[in-house]
Amino acid sequence: MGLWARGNVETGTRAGVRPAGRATRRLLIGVALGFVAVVVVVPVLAVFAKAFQQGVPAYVHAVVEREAIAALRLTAFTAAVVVPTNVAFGLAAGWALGKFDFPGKSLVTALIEIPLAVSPVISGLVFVLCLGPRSFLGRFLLHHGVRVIFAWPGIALATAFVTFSYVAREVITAMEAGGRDKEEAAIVLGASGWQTFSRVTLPSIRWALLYGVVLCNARAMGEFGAVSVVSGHVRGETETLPLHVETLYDDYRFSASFAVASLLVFLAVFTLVAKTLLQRAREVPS
Amino acid sequence: MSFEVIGLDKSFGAHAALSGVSLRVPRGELVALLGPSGCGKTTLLRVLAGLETPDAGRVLFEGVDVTRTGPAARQVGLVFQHYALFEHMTVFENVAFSLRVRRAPAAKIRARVEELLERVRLSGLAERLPSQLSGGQRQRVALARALAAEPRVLLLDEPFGALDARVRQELRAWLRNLHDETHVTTVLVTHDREDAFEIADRVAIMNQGRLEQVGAPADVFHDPASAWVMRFLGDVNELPAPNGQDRAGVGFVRPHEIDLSRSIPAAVSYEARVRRMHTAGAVVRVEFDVDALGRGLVADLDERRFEELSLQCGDTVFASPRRVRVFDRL
Amino acid sequence: MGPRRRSSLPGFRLTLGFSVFYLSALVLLPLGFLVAESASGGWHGFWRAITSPRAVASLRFTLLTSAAAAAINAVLGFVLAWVLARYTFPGKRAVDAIVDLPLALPTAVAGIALTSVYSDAGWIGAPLARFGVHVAFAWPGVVIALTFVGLPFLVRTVQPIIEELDPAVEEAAATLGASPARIFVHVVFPALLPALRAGFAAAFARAIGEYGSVIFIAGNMPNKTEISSLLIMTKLDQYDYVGAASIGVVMLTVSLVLLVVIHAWRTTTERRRASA
Repeated sequence: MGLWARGNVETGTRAGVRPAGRATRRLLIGVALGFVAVVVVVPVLAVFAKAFQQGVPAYVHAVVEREAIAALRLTAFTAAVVVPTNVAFGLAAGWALGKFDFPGKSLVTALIEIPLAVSPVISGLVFVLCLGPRSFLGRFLLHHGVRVIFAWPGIALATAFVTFSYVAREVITAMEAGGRDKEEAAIVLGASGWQTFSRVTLPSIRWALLYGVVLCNARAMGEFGAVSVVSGHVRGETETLPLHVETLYDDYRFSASFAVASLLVFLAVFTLVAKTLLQRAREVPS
Repeated sequence: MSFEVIGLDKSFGAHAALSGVSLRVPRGELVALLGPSGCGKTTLLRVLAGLETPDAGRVLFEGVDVTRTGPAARQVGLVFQHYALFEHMTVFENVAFSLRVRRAPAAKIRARVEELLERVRLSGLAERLPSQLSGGQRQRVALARALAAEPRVLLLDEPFGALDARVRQELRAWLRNLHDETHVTTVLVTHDREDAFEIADRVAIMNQGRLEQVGAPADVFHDPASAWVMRFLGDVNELPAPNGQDRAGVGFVRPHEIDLSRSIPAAVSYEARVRRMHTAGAVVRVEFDVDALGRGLVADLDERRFEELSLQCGDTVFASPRRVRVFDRL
Repeated sequence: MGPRRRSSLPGFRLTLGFSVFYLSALVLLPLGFLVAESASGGWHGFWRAITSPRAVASLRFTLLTSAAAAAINAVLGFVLAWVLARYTFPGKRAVDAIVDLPLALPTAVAGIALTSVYSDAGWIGAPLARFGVHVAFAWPGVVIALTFVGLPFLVRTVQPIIEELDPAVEEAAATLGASPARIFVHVVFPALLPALRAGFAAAFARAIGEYGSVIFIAGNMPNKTEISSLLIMTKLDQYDYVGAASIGVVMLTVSLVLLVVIHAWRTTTERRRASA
């Protein structure tokens, strides 16, 4: 089951079941809200407060200076590379695992979940070991002028690793839930495999696919630990936005750091809104 | 288009869905595959469609072996049990699908779809989505979609299964009319005897992967090939085999083939005592006990006969079976 | 419906082949390199790396703080899940959406935000400092950061289960004379225990691997407040690949074991949901 669970926001109180008195209820609500406030809300508000601490001009400057723009471009570029490739994988895996049964299917499904369980630092570490200067693969590539670790390909690979599962999980679930009847109907009606996939299957899972894309993109743009390991932290070149936030912070340029961080908060808010809307869209069709 | 299957075998793991099934269907016939759940009728349908490849045997369309041909090339129409409509497409697009994937010109598609929607009486609903239609309407869309590409054989998998009784009856009659207009060879899979008997030219009865009997509805009903078929097609009474017949056999009599009378009739009869009576639609069902046999039997009387006899519970009557079929003891 | 058949739909070999290839190249192969590197120093090298005082201290610190954070989530997060599932109040929809924020927010942003709020000059840290409680740059800060990242894992695991509780069971208990407190303790809570357990494990698993939100707020002092992920980073900087890989293998093993356990617990929970 996904962590981005399809909770029912509308439930409210259950009619007829009032195990707690009003005072207890108020207390519990208070505790819950206090918890969320202290752990989540206040820190997020602090980002904006600190971002504008030195006024709007300073904020704007932090956001448009050369290194920030470079970081923004690298972040966007990484997402633009990683999301489509993971979508391609997700659709292929969705078709193979969602529409067919075969021995070893549960093993493959389980393997697809692995990147979600791996710590971000390890996710970056494995690529340093695999393609870094110490491995023969890495040395081979360097010899031919291809730099992977401490350059954007490494960042893209590490990011692809950590976001590997997001699209696939949603698509596999959706394709499996859709059954085989419609595709078989299309085949009998004369459609080729590709026509069946593009005209029948893809539209039927479009919300699940978009949902996975939104999650994948959020993680791809926001990943810190894994990218931190493989990037080499070269300012203006191999820094993504989250890394740039760290660099500014380490340089004691606090309000600039928060200014750039606020951009990522906007991204997070957008992700949450998109996620909520897509969840609703998914629950609607018959 | 006529088709034939010869010696089909198909197993899924340890389960044998089809065993040695052979059937020939001439052009234009509407044949029903009738049988209980799990008898293999849907598997046979899917083999005909090309969605399953048999382990052994052949499938011939107009004498041409198509056993290894894929579904798209076979030009069959298939209506799924739950219709399998494309939910995100309008009724028009659903019906047009087979023509669109063949890249037919737009004008031709429009003409053909409108013609079909007219025929299935859904003309005004072309722009609706499947979720906005009733069960009966969805079924007709599925049918129109299957007919759009002018299939050589039309295959229907429990087409009335998900509908309520009244809609079921209307659609049955309508389907028969449609068949009479189009003359497309049609195969109908159903577990419902009434579906089969009302509209099929011939009925092929299946049980556990085998064909038990093939014939016109009246023939299979009046001359069942086995005890199983007889039991499957209706209620039966079991009697010992009449004198002079094979002792190991069992005699089967249908409730409406038993005459009751107050006086001893000329034919062979059993003395019986009426236990219970109730109205079963157009007939009255009388349950009675036959001490000589040590069991209870059932007779269906039409209203007139019932009134003539004016039976009461506990009355003594004489039951004479008009027609007994003897089969080996199962 | 009978057993699924392979023959009718096309494209199986192509899609499965591509998927397995992508999976192997991007996930399995690199992980294999991790294991290989950790073994490249032989058993001796591996053992030395993972039993060094610093490594042991970091693992212990990581596990303890993660457990503490998961425990906090199990209690307060449970209350949050309960409140969201059962009560209405103004702003509920917003709160429900905010629960997912830690999943959407980049960890570095969370890290600097939490640090600024809980440092001795921060909005919450300053009042606490006056009582002598220092949160940032000490283990309490780490626990708060890990609570932040684990919050949605616990809440989203437990919330649907609470929502699906059959009110008839509680009503029956009430008609039999049980007080609300009794109903909760003896009827409701036991039914939620499996989900709570799975949620705890999920929050815990998330926390042990966390990096970005922790490194700003932790003191990062070796042997004291250093989390294992940071130790791996440090070893990499020192070109101690074997050391980094060895600790990585240990963490990976723990993560995978937890993954299996959580999956098993989740399946049991879902099976009970389905049969209810």
